[in-house]
Amino acid sequence: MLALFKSRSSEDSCDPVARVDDLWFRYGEEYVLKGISLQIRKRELVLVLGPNGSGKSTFLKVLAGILKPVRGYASLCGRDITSLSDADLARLVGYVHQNPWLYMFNSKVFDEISFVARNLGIDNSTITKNVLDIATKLDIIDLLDRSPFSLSEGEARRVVLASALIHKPPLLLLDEPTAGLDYGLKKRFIDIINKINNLLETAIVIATHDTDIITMLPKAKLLILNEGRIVFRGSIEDVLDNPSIFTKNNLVMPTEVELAQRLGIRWDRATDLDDLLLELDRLRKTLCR
Amino acid sequence: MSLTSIYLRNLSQIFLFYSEKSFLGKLHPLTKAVLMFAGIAIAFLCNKLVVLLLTLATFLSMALLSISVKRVASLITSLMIFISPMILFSYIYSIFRSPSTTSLIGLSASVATAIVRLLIMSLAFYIFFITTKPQSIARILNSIGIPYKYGHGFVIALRFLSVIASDLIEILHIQKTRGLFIRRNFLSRLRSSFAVFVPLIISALNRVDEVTIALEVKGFGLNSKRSYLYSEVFGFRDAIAVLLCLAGLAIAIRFCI
Ligand SMILES: Nc1ncnc2c1ncn2[C@@H]1O[C@H](COP(=O)(O)OP(=O)(O)O)[C@@H](O)[C@H]1O
Ligand SMILES: [Mg+2]
Repeated sequence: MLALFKSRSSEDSCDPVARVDDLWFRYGEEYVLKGISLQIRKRELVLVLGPNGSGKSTFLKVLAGILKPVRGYASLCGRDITSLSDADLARLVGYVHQNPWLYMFNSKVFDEISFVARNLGIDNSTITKNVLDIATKLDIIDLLDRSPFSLSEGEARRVVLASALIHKPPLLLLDEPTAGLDYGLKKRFIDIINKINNLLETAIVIATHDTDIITMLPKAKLLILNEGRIVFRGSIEDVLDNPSIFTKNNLVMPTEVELAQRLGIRWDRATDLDDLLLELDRLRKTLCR
Repeated sequence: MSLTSIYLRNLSQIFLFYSEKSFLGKLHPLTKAVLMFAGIAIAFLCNKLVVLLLTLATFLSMALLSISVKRVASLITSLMIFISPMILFSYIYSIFRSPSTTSLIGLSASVATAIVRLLIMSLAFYIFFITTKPQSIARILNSIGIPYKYGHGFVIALRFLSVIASDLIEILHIQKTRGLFIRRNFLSRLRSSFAVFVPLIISALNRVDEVTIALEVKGFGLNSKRSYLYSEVFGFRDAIAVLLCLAGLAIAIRFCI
C-alpha cells in the first residue's frame, strides 16, 4: 500500500516534466544550439518550428538523453539528465524519430509495440493490457498480428508512436511526425496526437518545419527556432498577430493563414478551410460577373 | 556502447569530402594521387625509422594545414583503437615465448616502425580522399582507362560507407531510447544485435533501391564514353608539386637502401 502510494506521488511530482537552462550544443566546432531555455509542464503540448538545419532534431536528442549538453543544464522530472541511466531515460521519454523503419525488427507488430515495456521488465499481463489499450486508441488493433515490414508509411508511424507510449512516459518527443504524409494522413495523425494529449498525462514536444499543422493544434505552445536560438515563443493567436514572423525565419506561412490573409480576413480557430473556400468561390463569382 | 559510437562516428567521416579552401584542395587530383603514392611507396620500401618519421612529419603537417585538427585526431584515435589489441597480443606472445629485455626492445622497435608506416599510409590515403571531390576521383579513374561505370561505382561505394555508418548511429540511438541496452544477459545481447542489424539492412536495401532507380532514369551506363562539364587544369603549381614529390621519394629511397 505504501509502495503504491510512493510510486504515485513520485509520478505526480514529475512537473515540470523537462527543463533546459541556457543549453548549448555542438557536433563540431560550430554551436548548433545556442543558449536555449525552456520549461515543459505536465500535459503541455509544445510545437518547435524551424527551418531545416535550425537544430530541432538536435534539441529533441538532448531532451531524449541521446546527446549530452556541452554547456548548460537539462533535467527530466527534476533530475539532471546527465545523471540518468539508460533505464531511467527509457522510462521517462518516448522518442519518435522521423524514419519509422529504423525501429522495426520484430516479426509481429505486437512485439514491436511491447519492446520498451519488456526491456523495462513490466509483467506480461500488464504489457498485453497496455498494448491492446494503446492500439485501440491509435486505431491499429487490426495490425497487431501483421509483420511490421508489410505496413504502409502512415501505419508504420502509428505503430512507432504506440511503441513509444506503451509504458506511459511523462514526455513524448516527435521529430517531423508529418514528413512525407499527405494532407489527409497528416490531419489524421495530428488528431491522434491531440487525442493522446487529452487522454494521457504525457507532455508532447513536436519538432517540425511543417507550418500547416499549427492550425490543427489549437492548444499548442509555439516556439520558433532559427540557427539554434529561440526567436519566438507564444500561442497560435500571438503568431497570427504577426504572420511575417514565418517568412522572416525561412518558414512558409500555413496555407489557411495565407489564404485568409490574402482574402483580407483574420484567421482564427473558427475559420475552417471550407469557409475560406466558400469565400473564394464567392469572390470568383463576383469577379466573373 | 559509447566507444562503439565514437568509433562509428569517426569512421563515418573518414571518406567524406571536406573542403576546397586548403592549399591541397587547389591542386590537381592527379598531383594529389602522386603525393599519395609517393607516401605509400616510402612506407613500403623504407626500413629506417628516421626517414619514416620525417615522412610522417611531412604528411602530418600537410594534413593539419588542410584538414581540421579534430578530424586528423579522430582518424588517428580510430586507428589506434583498431590496432591496439594486435599490439597487445604481440607483446603477450613475445613475453611468453622469450621473456628477455633484448627481445622486448627489438619488438618495441618493430612495433614503432609498423605504427609509423600505418600512420603514413593512412594519412596519405586520408589526405587524398578528403581533399578530392568524389567526382574528380571517378574522372581520374576514367582518364587512366577504367570505364566510367566502375569509377562511379567505386565513388558510390565510398559515399555509401559513411551513409550506412550514420544510419547505424541513428539506429543505435533509437534503440537505446527504447531500453535496448538495459538487460545484459547473453540472450538479450543476441536480440540486441537483431534490433540493430535488421533495421540497418533494411534501410541499406532501400537506399540501394533508390540509387539504382536514380541511375537508371538518368541513363547511366548507356554509353561507355561520357563527356564532362567541368575539368581541373594541370597547372604550374601542380608541376612543381609533382617534382617535389618525386624528389622526396628519390631522396627517401636513396637513404633507405
Ligand atoms: N551527427 C551530426 N554531426 C555533425 N553535424 C550534425 C549532425 N547532425 C546534425 N548536424 C548539423 O547540425 C545542424 C542542425 O541539425 P538538425 O538538428 O538536424 O536540424 P533540423 O532538425 O532543425 O533540421 C545542421 O547544420 C546539421 O548539419
Ligand atoms: Mg530534423
